[in-house]
Amino acid sequence: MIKPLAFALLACGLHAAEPTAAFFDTHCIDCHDADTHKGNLDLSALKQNFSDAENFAKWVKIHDLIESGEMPPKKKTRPPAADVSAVTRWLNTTLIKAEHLDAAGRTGVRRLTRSEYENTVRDLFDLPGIALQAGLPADGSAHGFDNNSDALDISHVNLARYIEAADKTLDMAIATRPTAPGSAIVRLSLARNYEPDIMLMQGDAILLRDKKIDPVFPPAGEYGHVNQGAHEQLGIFDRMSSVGVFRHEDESWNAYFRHFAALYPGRYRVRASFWSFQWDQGKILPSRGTEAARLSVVQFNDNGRGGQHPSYVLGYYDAPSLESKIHSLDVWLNFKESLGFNVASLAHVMLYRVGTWGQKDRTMGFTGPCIANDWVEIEGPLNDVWPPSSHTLLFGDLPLTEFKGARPPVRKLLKQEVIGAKNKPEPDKDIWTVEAKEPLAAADRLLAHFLPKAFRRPVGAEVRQQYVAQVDARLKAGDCFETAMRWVYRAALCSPDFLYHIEPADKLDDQALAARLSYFLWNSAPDAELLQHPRDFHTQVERLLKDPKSQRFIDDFLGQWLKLRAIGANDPDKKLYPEFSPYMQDSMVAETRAYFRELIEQNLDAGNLVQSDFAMLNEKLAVHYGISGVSGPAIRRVALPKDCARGGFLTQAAVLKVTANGTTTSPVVRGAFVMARLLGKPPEPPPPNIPAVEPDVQGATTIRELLDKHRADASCASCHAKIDPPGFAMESYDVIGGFRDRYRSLHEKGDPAPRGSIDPKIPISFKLGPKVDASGQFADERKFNGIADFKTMLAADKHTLLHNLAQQLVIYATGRDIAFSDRADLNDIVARTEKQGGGIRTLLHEIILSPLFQTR
Amino acid sequence: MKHLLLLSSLIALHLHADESKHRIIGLSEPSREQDLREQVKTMPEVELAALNFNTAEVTFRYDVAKLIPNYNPKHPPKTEAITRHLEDLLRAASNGTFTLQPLSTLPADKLQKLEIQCGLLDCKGCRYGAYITIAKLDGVERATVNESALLTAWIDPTKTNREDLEAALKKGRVELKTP
Repeated sequence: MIKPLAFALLACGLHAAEPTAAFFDTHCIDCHDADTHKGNLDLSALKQNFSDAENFAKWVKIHDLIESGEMPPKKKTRPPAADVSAVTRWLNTTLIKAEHLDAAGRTGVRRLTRSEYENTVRDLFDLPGIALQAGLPADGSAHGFDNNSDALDISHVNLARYIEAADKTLDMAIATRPTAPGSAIVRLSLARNYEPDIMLMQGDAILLRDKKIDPVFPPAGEYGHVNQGAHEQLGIFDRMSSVGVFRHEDESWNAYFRHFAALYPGRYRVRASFWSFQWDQGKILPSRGTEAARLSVVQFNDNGRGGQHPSYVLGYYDAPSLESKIHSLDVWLNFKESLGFNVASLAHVMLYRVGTWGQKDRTMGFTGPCIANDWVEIEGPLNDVWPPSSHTLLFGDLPLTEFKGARPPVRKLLKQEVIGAKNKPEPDKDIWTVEAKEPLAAADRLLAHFLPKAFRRPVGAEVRQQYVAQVDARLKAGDCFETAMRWVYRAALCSPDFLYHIEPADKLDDQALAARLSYFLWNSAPDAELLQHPRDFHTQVERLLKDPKSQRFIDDFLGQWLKLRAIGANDPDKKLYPEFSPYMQDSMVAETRAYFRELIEQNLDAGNLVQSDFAMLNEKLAVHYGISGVSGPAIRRVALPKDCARGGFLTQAAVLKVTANGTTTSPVVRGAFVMARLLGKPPEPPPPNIPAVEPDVQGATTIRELLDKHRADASCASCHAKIDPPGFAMESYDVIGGFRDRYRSLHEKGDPAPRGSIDPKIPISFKLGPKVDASGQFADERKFNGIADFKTMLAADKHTLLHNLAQQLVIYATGRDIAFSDRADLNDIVARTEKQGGGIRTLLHEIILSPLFQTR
Repeated sequence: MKHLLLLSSLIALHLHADESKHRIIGLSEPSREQDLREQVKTMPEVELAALNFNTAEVTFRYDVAKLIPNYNPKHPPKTEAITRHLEDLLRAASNGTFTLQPLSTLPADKLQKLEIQCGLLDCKGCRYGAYITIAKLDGVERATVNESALLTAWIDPTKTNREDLEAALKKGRVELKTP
């Protein structure tokens, strides 16, 4: 039934004289009246209640669909351009006015995220490795990011954890001894550690001296070595022999340097010597290239027994052929932390023979690559000054003296808790603490120094006096000076001034601006220079980006924008993707991060988001991508061959992995990812009653065939016409980002699969299934033949790519979604960037100069 | 007093008052002689007076006044206290790979010699590991092992036998070469 909309609009408060009334009446009401209400939109009932978020969003959608020309649909008569312009102009003005009336769009009060909290504490106290994040409740997420004010609620759980985190921080920050703990150099051999002992006995590792087999301990052959304890008693593993390891770490075995477990949290210098070789049943030959040795920091649980302790990767290091290479790195170690080692670039092999399982004749029957560790040296803790700067921040130059009073500060007895660790604490016979002759005057002076740094803005005397009054109360209650001060420092670290981004209502003041800038590019508090010159934008942005702390921005932003945080969300099916390894996964993430860094440093344009003539690769990824000439684990810029379809985020393995489920790929998931993350056009959520398309895990039927059936339903077709094309193009890549022209299959009818670049030591059981069809057609009917074609078309629309990136960065930088009224400013950022060549570094500058950034 | 007499008969003190002779466990193969000599050098106030690989007997020389901490000439230490102290020093010096036992009281003609061929013992640690598995068994008076993985034991047949030894080796994951 067709009825005049003007009447209905009058009924719902929309004035008939407004340009929308006639426009809707002529072009829209046929499909969007009470009876038909296509797309669940009934214009006759739609009210102008803009204070209602849902209603407002509907009007925004109407505006966008008319402005983009998507509505009225192509099969209908096109409205005159002037009418379209009039309607969208009116809607634009009305919506902006409504938004301003509602004061929506301004950044709400928001607390620090977990990572912001940790980084802020690290920088404030100069404790760059203190681990606090894991102890805090997980943050929510809104509009794609966890630093969004809509997501950052706070509860009593948060507060309890903040108190714990503050205590942990103060424990580490306050010096409790008059002199620094002595620094020592400990040289560790992998041989003298419980797990490697076992592997040496059974043949998964060998002892080496001077690049030859250690004659004292021949490699295991038909028989393994017997009686590990006897070997240990004779000191066979104590001779600082090099250890060649064949076995990759797994669920039951990790190589840890257990003879050392840090007692004093702090900076340590680590040196490690690695090399590699090809083992051929007793012969040591040149290796196939530079292998990758991994070092990680291991946090021992309890007394350190068992395996699978929490750890994080320090890096992957060159192990050249038959030549030891010494790597040096500065690390932070917390209490009970040590190092772990893994033969990252080697395939999983098991030389340990139990019955018929494992390698016959163990090591002596094996031919394959091996990575050797000569030694690892740990030097530290390294303290340039004592007391450390964390202590000085809290207590200035007050002297540390032996405590003689009645109620001493609490001290936990330090002892080595890890079984097997040889380093022991230095004896602390007496209790040392800071002494203040005029405690309240000292407290006032110390707080005047500390509070502005912690709160990231000047702190008035009246606020400071409240803290001093608490010190006074604690002293009167019998606490010593350190305990009383600790009480107020803990209070400060749990106060809203520390936990929240404090921003004025409209234009940001200098402090808020400095904080917004530093939390954007450093994920942390501003330093003194930024607080001093926050409006020297160009210089400051360049300085912040140049600082290593800007890596936090890259990691945090990409972790959310491109979902890199989800890289480990699933483990690829081991039968279908046996070549996958943790090293490959870490390389994937490193590639994407390095690529984004390169885009910023080289100020490359947004076309590079999807297409480029280079990639950031190491050997692992280069082999995975079928690109030759890259050796070793270091990520570097590599020019891509002309016929290579790689280059840009869409064909990076990390992006391809986070958009797959570990077994199969779905054009819907990947298509939705591209639309939302790269084009800024997130698809509508699926209707509630439509079942998801379940891929055939056996690989007999392609996802395209299944989707074709799904799209036969008209209600699905319109959305899938937009979602599926990018996903179809990305079908050329499997769940771990490997190129494919046929699907891998576990179906018995598949064809035998060639090994390709898969390590010869990795057994293959998958087969080749149906062919991949990566062709498709955009919603506007442009066709593409495959991924390269698709990327070329996408890269041609640099404006859309740049606009989306600008939008994502603004949301991230300001902690709020882009409001309707922000669109003009956002467009302005993009236009100014484009005028200067469209570089991404330029975009960052323009964002920071914009009213969006400089206004709350 | 009874105990003292018994120990005195087991530990034959040398004519010199500051020497003592013991059976030693740990001499798995000839190269271990040198290990022992080096390790005894690190034992304070003790010298190696004699070492017989074939009988697994060792004689230590020392000045008991210097050897025993807080030595009191009015109350000289008993023989077992001296032995215990020597044992502690030797364990510390050798990381427990050498231990002392009373001298064997069984006449040589009563000892039974057993030979057990093991699979492969191509490192000193493995040989020592296999050796120690049987050397500490009750009834084993002496044992040796060679690079051909042949374990030789001299046993008191009233206390143990081949089956016991082979069972102990198997439990210690030492593979035996079956004929």
